[in-house]
Amino acid sequence: MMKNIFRRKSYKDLDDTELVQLAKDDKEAFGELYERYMPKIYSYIYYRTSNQHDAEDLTARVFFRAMSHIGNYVDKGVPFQAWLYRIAHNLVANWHRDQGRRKVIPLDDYVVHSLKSESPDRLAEDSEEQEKLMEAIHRLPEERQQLLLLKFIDQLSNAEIGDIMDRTEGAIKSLYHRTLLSLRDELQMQEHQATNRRPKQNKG
Amino acid sequence: MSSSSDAKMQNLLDAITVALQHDDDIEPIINKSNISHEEIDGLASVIQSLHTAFTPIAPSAKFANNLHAELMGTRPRRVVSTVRHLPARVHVAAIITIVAGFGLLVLRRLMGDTTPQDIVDEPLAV
Repeated sequence: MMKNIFRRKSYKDLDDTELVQLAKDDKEAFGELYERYMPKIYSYIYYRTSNQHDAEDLTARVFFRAMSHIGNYVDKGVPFQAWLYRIAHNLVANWHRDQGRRKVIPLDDYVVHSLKSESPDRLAEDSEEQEKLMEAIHRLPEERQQLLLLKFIDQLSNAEIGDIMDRTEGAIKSLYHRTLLSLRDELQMQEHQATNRRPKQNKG
Repeated sequence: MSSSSDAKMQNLLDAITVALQHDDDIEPIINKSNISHEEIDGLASVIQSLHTAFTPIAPSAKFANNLHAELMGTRPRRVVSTVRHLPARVHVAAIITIVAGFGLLVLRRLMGDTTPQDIVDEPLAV
């Protein structure tokens, strides 16, 4: 019992590289890696599949695959976290291909829950704005959608995102900048179109 | 925009994103930068909207515990979950095989259970 407590404590103190080495022969070390990354991987997959069942299935597949291949894992500049995300990304891509679904982030159902306003008028206004934002995100290329998820859902740093997307930190910063500019322009264009439509509707 | 001002803007956008994630005030960060409000306000507003829209989704405790137990080998993996993890083409092949097998059984029942052996054993009419 005491031995287990010490072992468990020592796992928590270890960094990923040490844990990965241990996990090649020790399931409990893998268990610690699972506890560290499962919630993030689940959240990432959930936003990319839009439903709980597929998110659970794919998350399970990510960790079973990681466990079966961890013996061959060698850190050649790709940290364990990035390796896991790459497995998740590939499985989600296969899932989209098998399902014949569009590679979009189906967030619309969740946006309303995240609104913090309590006033009904403000809520309706926020909801409309969020809807427009989501439409704009849907129109972004897949890599930009992935960047936004990794940044806002998993709250990863540019360096970590770079490891996952196989780009430099500078390239990620630049991609983020361009993504925000696209979103801003898209939203402004939508706003402009809505303003132009209003007088016509009033006249009709 | 020059590359140095591009880099400044990128660093500022990053700082604003991180500040929002830590529930910090972004106003001092913007004021401290040499970038005008006019330039940054539109982008900061997009970051704010993204921050509000994206909220992490936690898995259920039941799922987390079950998967942990399955990985550690203290709980056998469910057959249903194993089957669900198979590729869609395997599902289609399995369904076709089951339907074809069932069809064959029905067909044989309708044909009066005649087997090739029955035909061989049947006495020939003279």
